[in-house]
Amino acid sequence: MKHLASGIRGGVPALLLLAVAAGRQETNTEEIIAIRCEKIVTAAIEGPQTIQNGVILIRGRKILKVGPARDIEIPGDATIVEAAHRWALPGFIDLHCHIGGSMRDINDMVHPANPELTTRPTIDPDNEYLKMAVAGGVTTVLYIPGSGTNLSGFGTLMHTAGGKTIDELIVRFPGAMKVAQAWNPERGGGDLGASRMGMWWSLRQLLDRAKAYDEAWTAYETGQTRLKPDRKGDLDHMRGLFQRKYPVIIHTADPRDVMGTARMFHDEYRLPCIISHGEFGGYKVAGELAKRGLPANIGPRLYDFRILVDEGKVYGIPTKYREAGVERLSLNTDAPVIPQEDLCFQASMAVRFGLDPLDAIRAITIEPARAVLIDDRLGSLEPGKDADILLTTGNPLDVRNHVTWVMIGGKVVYDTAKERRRY
Amino acid sequence: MKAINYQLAAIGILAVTGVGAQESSPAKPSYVALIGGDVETVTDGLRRGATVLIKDDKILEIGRDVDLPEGTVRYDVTGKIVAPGFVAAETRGLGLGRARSQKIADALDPYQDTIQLALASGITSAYVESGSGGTFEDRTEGVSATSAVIKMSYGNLDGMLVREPAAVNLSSWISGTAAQRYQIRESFRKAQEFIEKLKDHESRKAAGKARPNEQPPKADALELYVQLLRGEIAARMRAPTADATFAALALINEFRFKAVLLDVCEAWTMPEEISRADCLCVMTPRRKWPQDKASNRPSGSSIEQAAILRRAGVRFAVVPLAAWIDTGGIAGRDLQTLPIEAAFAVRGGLDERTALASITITAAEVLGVSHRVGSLEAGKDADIVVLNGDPLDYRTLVDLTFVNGRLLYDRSKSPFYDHLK
Repeated sequence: MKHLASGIRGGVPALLLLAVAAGRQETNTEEIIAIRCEKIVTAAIEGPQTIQNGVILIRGRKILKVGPARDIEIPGDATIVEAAHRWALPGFIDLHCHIGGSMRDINDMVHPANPELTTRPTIDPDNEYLKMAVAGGVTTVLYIPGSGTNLSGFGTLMHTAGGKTIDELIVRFPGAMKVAQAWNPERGGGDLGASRMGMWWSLRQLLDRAKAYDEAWTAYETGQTRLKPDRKGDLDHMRGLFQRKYPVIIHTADPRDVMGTARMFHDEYRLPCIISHGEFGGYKVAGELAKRGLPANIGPRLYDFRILVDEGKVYGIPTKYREAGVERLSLNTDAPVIPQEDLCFQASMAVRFGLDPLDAIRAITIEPARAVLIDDRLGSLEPGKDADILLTTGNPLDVRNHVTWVMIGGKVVYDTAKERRRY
Repeated sequence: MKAINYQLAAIGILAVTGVGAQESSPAKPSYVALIGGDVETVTDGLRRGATVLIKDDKILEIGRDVDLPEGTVRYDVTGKIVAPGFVAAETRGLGLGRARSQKIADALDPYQDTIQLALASGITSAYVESGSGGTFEDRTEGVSATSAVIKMSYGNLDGMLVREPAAVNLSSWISGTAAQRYQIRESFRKAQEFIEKLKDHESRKAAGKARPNEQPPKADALELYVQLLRGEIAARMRAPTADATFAALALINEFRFKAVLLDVCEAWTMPEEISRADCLCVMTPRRKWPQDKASNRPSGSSIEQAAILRRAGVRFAVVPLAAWIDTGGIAGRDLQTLPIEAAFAVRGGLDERTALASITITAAEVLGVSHRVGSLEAGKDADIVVLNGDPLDYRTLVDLTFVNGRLLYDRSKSPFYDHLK
C-alpha cells in the first residue's frame, strides 16, 4: 500500500505561507501570489492537462501564469505559497446543488411552472453545508430549486465561500433555469401537469410566450420598433435563455424523457441546455446527446443495476455516456443527496465504474463550467481565469488524500494549517 | 425499488459455486491453494508471493514453500492481493429471510439476494439483528438478544451461523427512559448478586458444607447480564455524542463489562476516557455530527477521529454510512464499498494497517469471533478475498471470494462486474 501523496499526515502544518515583503511598496498594482507545487492539474480546455513541479502566478482575482517552475520567473515581491508536496487543481464545480440556503425553501409548489421564482434570496452565506463544500474542494455551485414542479425557477451560480453577503457570493445570476421532467414533478392531484401530457403542454406554452416576449423586447431595445412591450415579470429571466446567456438545466432520466428533453429544449427551442441526472437507463439514448453536442450532468446515482434491463450488470452511468460519444460530461451530487463535499468522491466512484481519471477530474471542473457557460472565467487553471484554486495532499480521486487549502477569487478561504480541518 | 429480480445474477453465481467446492465427505479432505499472491494476513504482516493452502473449511498453511497435497485445486493469484474476507460489524437486512423469529438461527436464508452482492464486495461475515423494530426486545429487561454473527455462505445453510446471540443491545441505557435505565442498573446489580450467590454455593459445595439436595441459584431472566459480567458477550450501545459516550462509560466503569460503542462521532474529544474503560468502538469516518455551539468543549464529528483514537490505543471497527446493500445507484456509501470507508479513516491520518484491521480483525473482535475470522492464519476459517489491487484503493475490485473454503464469487463468471477492468 502506498500513498500517492508524500505530504505529511496528522496535523503538522505542511504549508508555509511565506511573505517576502521586504522593501515592498504599495503601488496601484495588485499583490502577486506565487504557488509552487508538486503537480498542477490544469483541466485546460486544450493543451497540457498536468504539469510537474509547477508554478501558478496570481494577481488580484486572476491567474496570471501557469507552467513548469523552470519556465516561470517569480517576481521578487510576490507572496510565495510553498506547496512542494501538494497538487494544485481548479476549484470543483457542481451544477446540481440544493444546499445554498436553508434546505427548506427551494420548492414552492403553487403553479405547475414557476419562472418567477429564484433561489437568490434564499442563499445563506453562513451555511454549514457550504463550509463543508469548501473543505471538499467545491468552490462553485449552481444552487437550483428542487424538482417539485415542472419549472421550479431560476438557480444561482455562486461561490461556496469568500463573501459575507449574498451578493458577494454570486458568480452569476441567473445561473440557469431549472426544469424537471420525469417523476418528481408529477403531481398527485388531478390538475394540469399531473402527467407528462399536461407538463409538456404547459412548458411549451411558457416557452412560446417567453420567446415572443424576448423578440418583442429585443426589437424595442435595438430600435426596430418604438412600441414598448408590457413588462411581464415572470418572463424577464427567461429572455436570457433565448439570448444564450445562461442555460436551462433539466432534471430528467429514463431514455424516453432524456430524448424528449433533448428534442424540446435543443431541437425545437434551440436553447443552451444541460441534461441533468440522466439515470435509470437514460444512457441508452446517450448517442443522441452526443450527436447534438449536448452536455450531460450525471448524478447523484452513478450506476444502473436492474437485472432484467441491464443484464445483471452494474453499469457505470458516466462510462456509458462517454462510450456513446458524450464528451461534454460532468458529475453532480444533487447535494444534499450526496453531501456537497463528496463531489470529488463522485468522480472517484465514476472511475471505479470505468471512467478515465482525467475525464473524471474534468467532469467536476472544466466541463461543468462549459455546460453552464462560465468557462471564460472558471473551471481550469489558465491565464486570465479567476483564481479559484485548491491544494491537495495528492491525487484527489484517492480518498486517502484531502484538500488542505482553498482560494476563491484570489482570496484564501480555507487553510488547514490555520484552522480546524473540516474534511 | 429493492424488489429486484436477481434470477440472472443468481445463475451467474451458482455457475461458480461448483468450482473448487468440496463434497463434505469427512473421510476425504479437499484442498484448495491460492498461489503466488501478496498475502495480507492482517495479524502477521504482508507475505509477498506466498501460497495459502485451504483444507476443507480451514486455512491449513500460509508460506512460500507449501507442499500441495495431490488433488489440490489451484488458483494462480500472482499479482493479486489475498486478504481475509471483510467483516461488517453492523448490517441491516443481510442474510435473513422474511420469516423472522425469536431465534436468528431459524430465520436464516442462505439464498437471500443481497448476499451475492455482499460476496462481490468481499464481505464474508456480518453482524445481524432481527426485528429491528423492537419486536423481540425484552422491554422489561431493557435488552434485545436477537443478534448473531453470520457468514455470507450463499447457498449453504451449514456454516452460516457463527454465533448467537452475538451481543446485548443496551442502547436504551442511553436513549431510553429513566425507568429503563433504573431497570438496567438493577439488573446488573442483581446479576452481580447472583454471581456472588453462585460462588458461595459452589465454594460451600466444594467444602462439603452445602445442605443436602441444595440447588444452585438460577439466573433466570438475568442470564444475559450474567454473561455480560463474565465477559462472555459484549453490550452494544449507540453513542454518537460525547454526552452519550460519557453515560455509557459510567455504566461500563461501574460494572466492568465488555462493551462496544456504536456510531461514535465525538469519541475523538475523549479518547483517554474510552481507552481507560477498555471498550471497543464502531464508527464511520464520514459520519457527520454537528458542533454544539452552546458547548465550551470540542464537539461535532471529525474526519481525524480514527487517527486520534488509534493514538490513544482505542480499537475500533469501521462500518459504512449505510450498513446495508443498496442497489439504487448511489455509489460508495453502503456495504459494497466497506474498504473505501476505511480509506476515509486514512484520509484523517490513520495508518493503513489499522484501517485494514478495522474491517477485518478488529471488526471480528467487536463481534467476539476473532478466534475464527478476521485474519489469515493457519487454523482459522478459510474466509478469503482475492483483490485486483490495494485493498484501500477506490478502484480495487474483488476477484474471488471464499467462505468456509468454498469459492462463492468469481468476478469473471458473475455478471455484476465482469465488464470492468
